[in-house]
Amino acid sequence: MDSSTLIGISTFTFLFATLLYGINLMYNKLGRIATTTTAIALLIQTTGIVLRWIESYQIGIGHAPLTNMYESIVFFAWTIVLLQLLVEWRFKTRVSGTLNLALATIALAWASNSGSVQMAISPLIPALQSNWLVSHVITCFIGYAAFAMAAAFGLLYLLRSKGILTDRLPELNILDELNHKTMVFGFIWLTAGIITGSVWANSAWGTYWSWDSKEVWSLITWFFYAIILHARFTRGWSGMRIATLSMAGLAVVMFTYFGVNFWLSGLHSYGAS
Amino acid sequence: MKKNNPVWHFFSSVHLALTTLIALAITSIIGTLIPQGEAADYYYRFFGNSIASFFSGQGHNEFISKFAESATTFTQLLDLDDMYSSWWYLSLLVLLSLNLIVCTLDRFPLTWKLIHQDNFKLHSDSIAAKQGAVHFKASVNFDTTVKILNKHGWKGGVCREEERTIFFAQKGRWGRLGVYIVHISILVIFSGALIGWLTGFKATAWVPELESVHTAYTQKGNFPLQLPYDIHCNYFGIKYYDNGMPKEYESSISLVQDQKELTTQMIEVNGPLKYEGTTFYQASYQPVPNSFVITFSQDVEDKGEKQTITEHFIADYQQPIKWNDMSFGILRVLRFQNKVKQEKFWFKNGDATPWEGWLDNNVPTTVTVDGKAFSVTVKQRFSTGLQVAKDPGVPLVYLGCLMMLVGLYMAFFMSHRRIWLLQDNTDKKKSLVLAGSASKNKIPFTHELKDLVEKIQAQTR
Ligand code: HEM
Repeated sequence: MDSSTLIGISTFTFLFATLLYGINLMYNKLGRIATTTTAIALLIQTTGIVLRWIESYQIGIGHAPLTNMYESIVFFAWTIVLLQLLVEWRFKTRVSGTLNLALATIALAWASNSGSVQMAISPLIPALQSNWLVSHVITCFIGYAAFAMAAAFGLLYLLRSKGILTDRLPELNILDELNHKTMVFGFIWLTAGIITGSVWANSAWGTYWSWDSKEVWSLITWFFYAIILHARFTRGWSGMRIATLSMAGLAVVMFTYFGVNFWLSGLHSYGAS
Repeated sequence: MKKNNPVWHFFSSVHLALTTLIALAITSIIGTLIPQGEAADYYYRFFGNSIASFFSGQGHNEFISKFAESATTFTQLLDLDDMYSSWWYLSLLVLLSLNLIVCTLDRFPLTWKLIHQDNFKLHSDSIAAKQGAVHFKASVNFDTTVKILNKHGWKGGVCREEERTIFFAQKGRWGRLGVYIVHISILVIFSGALIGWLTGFKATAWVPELESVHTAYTQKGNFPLQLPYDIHCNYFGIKYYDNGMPKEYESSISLVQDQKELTTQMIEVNGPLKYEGTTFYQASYQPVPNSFVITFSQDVEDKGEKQTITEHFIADYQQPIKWNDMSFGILRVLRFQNKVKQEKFWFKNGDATPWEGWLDNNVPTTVTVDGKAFSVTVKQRFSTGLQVAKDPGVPLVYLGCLMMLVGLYMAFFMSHRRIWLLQDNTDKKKSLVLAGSASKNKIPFTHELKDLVEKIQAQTR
């Protein structure tokens, strides 16, 4: 069995888990099964990623599977699902499962079927051959995934405050708290992602910051969340406003992730292929 | 006094912080839409093409050129072609820094007091009135209760007064410094950037193989920069993957001063040469047209010891080179997709018949002439493009980054938690009070207090 088969299987299992979480959200049933299915799917996907790593060594260009758009989307999905399980374990709630697994499923399905995303394992161009690459990608994507999580809680907040699923969703202040916690988590990792990127740029090109469009957009994202945190902490914003902002934040994150690659040019445009 | 000063008030306000951050976030977008650092005619074409793509068909030409002209003027007026170092963008950063400094000075003394305050001084009523305070009866005495609290991680002190006995313990009080460390880290990073800007440089040097260069050209403004040594390029090569993609660009670089070699190193992308604070990065390369490097090595025996003599020559296309009794040169070149694949090499030693043959580019080949074996390598000659950079601000920037991560961790995850255990000595029948406060996660903390009380009550004599 090869890595793309395993990743394909995990995609379908994520889809199945999305439905199970949906049933759990609506009828308060099958919660355990949803979580178990997700854990198994995550394990399959992990195996797939490790296998892809091994395969890249077998064809003689060995590198961690984190180097092009396809691999980054697979890792993004992996991180979201992992965070979902961590949140369930830490905060004892499954409510964000549907949205997060749906996002992971859509991301994987798009990556595998869109003509614009190259799936083949490709050799690394010289600029990417650095140990910082791995730490940079991992830190950034944990950040992105956490922001996706925050946006999911934001959306749930919105639903509940509109009177939807009131008996199944946690209280508004708890959703608000979960939104804040995941956002803060994302903020630390995004910060670490920007820092590892700078250290890498400095070791490869002698400039830790060159105002390349991807760098600028990650800085804009960082400002965006810094603004939300300050509005919350010092101006007492919470609830609806923060929920809305956290969803807008995900849009900024997604632009930094995809938009920059497709519409703007710069050092990072390798990701477009 | 400070509080009433309107200037102080302005610069310490979080309103200003939010406004500045929003302004930075929005204006930063501009530089990702308008290409940076190009010449005026580039912008004219850029704006012309951008607007033209909205109008297909004829008749708009005059409007398009007017638009392109005014957009270019506007761009230059506001330095939008170099916006991240424009006066107004830098002013925003200065404003942010002032805001941070004044805000820190304004609030820090209070936080410091809070960290060091004497928590035994608190009035009993205000302890008992804390949110989540639990009034309870214990079957054990005060000291045993304190021991139970100790056992659950709350180590603190007891203060015995006539009217009351009070136990106090706290955790994570230094977490209150987290926010300050984060804010100061931004200033530290800015200082590092400033130092780099004032005392560092970034320049480019093109060094052809087997030549030396003494001057680099700054990336901004293209000013010549005299280096204290010569950069000599011994070799430049590209390694390829099996599928033809470049795998590595590498240059062997020597720094030479007064004929003395200071250092020699093979550099590659992600593997620069560092010398006394200056770093040499592999940034680019260019073939030198019609120029080749020929390398001869010959094994010779000198008093029974085997030695290899190696010599490098710059050979121009079809120009013979003479060395001792030998002459040699390149007759023809085979190219594929603009890359030199093979060179036709000729070689004559003394009066013997010349040798002629195709050699693979940059692959050592043994050539035997007149009974003597030589190893010959012929390759396309390149010029290596180096980025020469010096940035004494980097350590400070890295320190700032580290501070920011530590500070964020403290600010987000360390909660200053305090607990008081209070016994009223005037009325022994009155219940004990366990109260606490937390700077974060207040609701879970009240549950923690309840748990503690249950543990105390579970203790029977
Ligand atoms: C990009 C720049 C900035 C970053 C990354 C940043 C970061 C932070 C963080 C992480 C917190 C803690 C929030 C929390 O615990 O939820 C915070 C709080 C705060 N920030 Fe900033 N900050 C920045 C700029 C500023 C500026 C310019 C000011 C100027 C007034 C400011 C004023 C404050 C204040 C007053 C607090 C609340 C502190 C407290 O009461 O404990 N920040 N900031």
